[in-house]
Amino acid sequence: MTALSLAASALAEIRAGGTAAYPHEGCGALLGRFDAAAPRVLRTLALPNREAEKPRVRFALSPADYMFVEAEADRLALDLLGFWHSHPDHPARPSETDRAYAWQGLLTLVLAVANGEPRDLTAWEIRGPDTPFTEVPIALDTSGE
Amino acid sequence: MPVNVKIPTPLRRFAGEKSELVVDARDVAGALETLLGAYPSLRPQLLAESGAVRSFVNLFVNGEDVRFLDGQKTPVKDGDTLAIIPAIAGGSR
Repeated sequence: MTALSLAASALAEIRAGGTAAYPHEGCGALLGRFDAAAPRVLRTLALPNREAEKPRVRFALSPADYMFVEAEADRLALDLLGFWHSHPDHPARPSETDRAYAWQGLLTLVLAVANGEPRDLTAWEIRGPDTPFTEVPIALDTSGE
Repeated sequence: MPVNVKIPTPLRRFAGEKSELVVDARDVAGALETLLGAYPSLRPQLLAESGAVRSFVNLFVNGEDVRFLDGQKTPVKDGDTLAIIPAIAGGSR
């Protein structure tokens, strides 16, 4: 993957979601158009963080949330491209936990939120079951499409 | 008995890009074996080397987690849906 195209509106949704969830981790799904070289994230789906014990440093979705996301992607005729989550008062670098749960074919976006303010957003993919994360450059799409 | 198997987005590349398949099976284990027979590259995605379903993979029959039913021995009947659901989680620590 050479770059990820991210709609400006989707970036705004991710930043707002991470801010609203602070000091807990926020999360959501990324929907758009699949392209092996340059996928396009067109919109997000806000999702509740189901992590009960450590929501400041962990996030989790329920199986029902996941099924909802797949159903919404079908309904909107969009592809599920991955998920975003926030790291409150922590850099926008994926952790070992993020890697353990990563799926080949689903992007991992990480938003740093510092003192309640959204900061860096980074994108990552894995290219095989035992490979580390590779960072994917984000290209902001301001066309409004 | 024909059972619908729902394939999640990240596993479709290993299943001929299909989102749903129909397999003939009497229980969850049978459905998985039929599925993995047709798409062998799915095996390491779904099963650990021990043959157990990987912990990051959830199996639901008609909306119920098979861990709370009878595991892979959970019976399935004509028209049931077996959903393969990836665990989605992570965090800064």
